[in-house]
Amino acid sequence: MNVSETEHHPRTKRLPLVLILVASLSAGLFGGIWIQRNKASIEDVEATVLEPAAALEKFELTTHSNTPFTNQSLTGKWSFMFFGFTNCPDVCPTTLHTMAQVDRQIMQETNGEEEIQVVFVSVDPERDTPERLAQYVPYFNESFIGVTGKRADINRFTRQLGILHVRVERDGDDDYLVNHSASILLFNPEGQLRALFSAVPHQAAYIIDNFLKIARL
Amino acid sequence: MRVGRLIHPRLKHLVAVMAACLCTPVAADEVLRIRNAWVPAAPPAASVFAAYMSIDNTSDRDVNIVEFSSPHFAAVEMHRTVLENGMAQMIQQSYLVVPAHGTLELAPQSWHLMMIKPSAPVVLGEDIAVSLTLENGQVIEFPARVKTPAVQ
Repeated sequence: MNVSETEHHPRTKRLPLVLILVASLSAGLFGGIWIQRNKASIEDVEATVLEPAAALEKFELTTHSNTPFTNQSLTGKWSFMFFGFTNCPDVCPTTLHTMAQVDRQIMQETNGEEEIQVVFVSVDPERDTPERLAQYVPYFNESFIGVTGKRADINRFTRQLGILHVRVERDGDDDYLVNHSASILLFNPEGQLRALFSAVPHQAAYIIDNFLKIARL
Repeated sequence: MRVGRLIHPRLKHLVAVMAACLCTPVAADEVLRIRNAWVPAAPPAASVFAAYMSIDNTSDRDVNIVEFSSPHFAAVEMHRTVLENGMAQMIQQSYLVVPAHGTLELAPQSWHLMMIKPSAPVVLGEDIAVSLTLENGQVIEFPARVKTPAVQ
């Protein structure tokens, strides 16, 4: 009643302007937070990330289907790779089971958009022939690729990747064990080494979480 | 004097019970308890399988297990996976110690059994007969269930 019309006018005129200003600032603020959350930075990743990713020297190995496995085989999609042998009761089957879970969950979480491949490379090519790998690797997941090759080629491949392996002889001739690096390597779709998961025992949730961050770097 | 008469019989009784406890041999399965023994499922062509379990020792003394065996396998060995120099190494053990009033956990990438050359298929869902032998010669038999590892 006592409020004069003139007092209302300035307020009413300012109101839309204030609203627009507040809306813009809010959008800017929340938009910024949203972008920050979705853009990962290397500091957020709990794995060893190679910056820049490392290109590999030429290699030629064989898959369990008796087809060539070369640098080309690592291109087109993200690849997880780890090393072992089929006469390994503990680390290798455990990692294969874990990676089967990783594969399933990444498919689910990205609605099949992020296609990955999982490669198991034998550090025991003498016993792990393509045929032997074919009976072993697909059991854990039909899409998994078992890789073997000539001893010299396997050694050259593991050497360039910093993967260690040592044969441990036992009583029987054919009874030996192979101590080996348990790291899981991650290659980008260009076929370059991008990251290493070294924490053992490997946990599926940890790998998936960090893979998604790395893929968004 | 009345107090003396009260204490003496009870003390004698107590000493008798303690002596009996020390002299009576305790059965192996009263001292060790095996829980959740399992074998991770592996491809039919696999020639080695792991076995994991929890072993509780309810006694006052450490218990040494010197051997495991199974009619389902040619040989069973005790191993420990150790991460050293960046490599997973399997170190064979000549015995496993279950600490007094404690538990020994056989689990992936730690202590485990390595069961070699199955004499019959290892089928998911079935039980594998396993037995362990203590240092004093006592034997405990238990089943290990073939399972797929739990989702993490």
